Amino acid sequence: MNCEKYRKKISALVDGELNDKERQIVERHLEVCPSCRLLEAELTRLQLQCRSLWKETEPGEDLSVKVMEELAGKKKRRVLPPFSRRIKYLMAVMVLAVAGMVAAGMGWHPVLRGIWKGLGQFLFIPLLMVRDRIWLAEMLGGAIILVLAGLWFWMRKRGREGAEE
Amino acid sequence: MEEQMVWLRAAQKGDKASFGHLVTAHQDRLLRVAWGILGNRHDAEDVVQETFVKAYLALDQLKELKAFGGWLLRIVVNQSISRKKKPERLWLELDKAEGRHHDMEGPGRRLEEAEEKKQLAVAMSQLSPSHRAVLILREQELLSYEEISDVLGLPVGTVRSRLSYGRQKLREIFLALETQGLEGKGI
Repeated sequence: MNCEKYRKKISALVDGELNDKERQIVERHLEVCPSCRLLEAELTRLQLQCRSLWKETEPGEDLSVKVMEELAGKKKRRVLPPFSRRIKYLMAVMVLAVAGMVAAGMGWHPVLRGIWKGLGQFLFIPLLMVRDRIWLAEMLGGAIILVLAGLWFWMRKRGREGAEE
Repeated sequence: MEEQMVWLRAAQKGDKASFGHLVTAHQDRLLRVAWGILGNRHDAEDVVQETFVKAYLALDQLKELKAFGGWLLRIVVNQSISRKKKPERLWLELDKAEGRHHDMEGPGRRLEEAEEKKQLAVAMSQLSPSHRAVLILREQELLSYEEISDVLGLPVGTVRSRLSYGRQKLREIFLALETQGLEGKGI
């Protein structure tokens, strides 16, 4: 008789964690299989022994004093906002950056303008196909540079806070 | 429970005294679990202390205040599993503890029980920490499979198979030790 699939379920049977259908199947098998019945009896005995093994654990001294000493001088970690909120922040920063550049108009320094245009064209190749949308490439390139700069400053700040802790 | 929610909210705002009350309320349970996994009191106390410090520093991450107990359990189990184990101390401590208990029972039965417990503890120490963890949460804390799955962040099926494997392994080791014991007595 192939008992393996039943033996795996006997532990859950002892815990009363099988659903009705599974329980009935395993119990029917136990009626005809002495070796699985023995396993069930031994696991039940083992369960009782395990439960009495650790019940005598004496309560420890009050750890709150030690924990408080440990916590003295430690600041609570500033927690990063959830991922979805971080994405929203990022989007907001990008929109602001783009809006800022639109407001600045086309009269900025030619070197800066060249870098922004180059990055935008590089990252947004499809824009190259439409010559009259080059200004969009410039804005996107600029937005990316601003976002990366903002992220860099933010991560440096986080790194300093982490080191202080 | 309501009192704990008040302490918890205050602790989230940085009130360390309120957190101290929470430490007192939860320390015995965490100590039992850590002791069960690590096998000795000294390491268990260290782990519980680390757990509370870690929990306080990350308290803002806890959104469901009612889940605080389970969250602490998860931290203490993870900390215990990742700590270096010293299984040989497990049964030695139990051995010493025997003298303090069962004083009212007959000496023969007491010895037999002590021997049984020692063997069980040795068998426990030979399981992997992750199998010990599910066994402790089930047999000592009497958590359901669903609750263990929440605490450990594992699917219920994995909890079930770890318990099944852990118990069968424990049974094998335990039976082998019993047989050795009987042979040692010349029976």
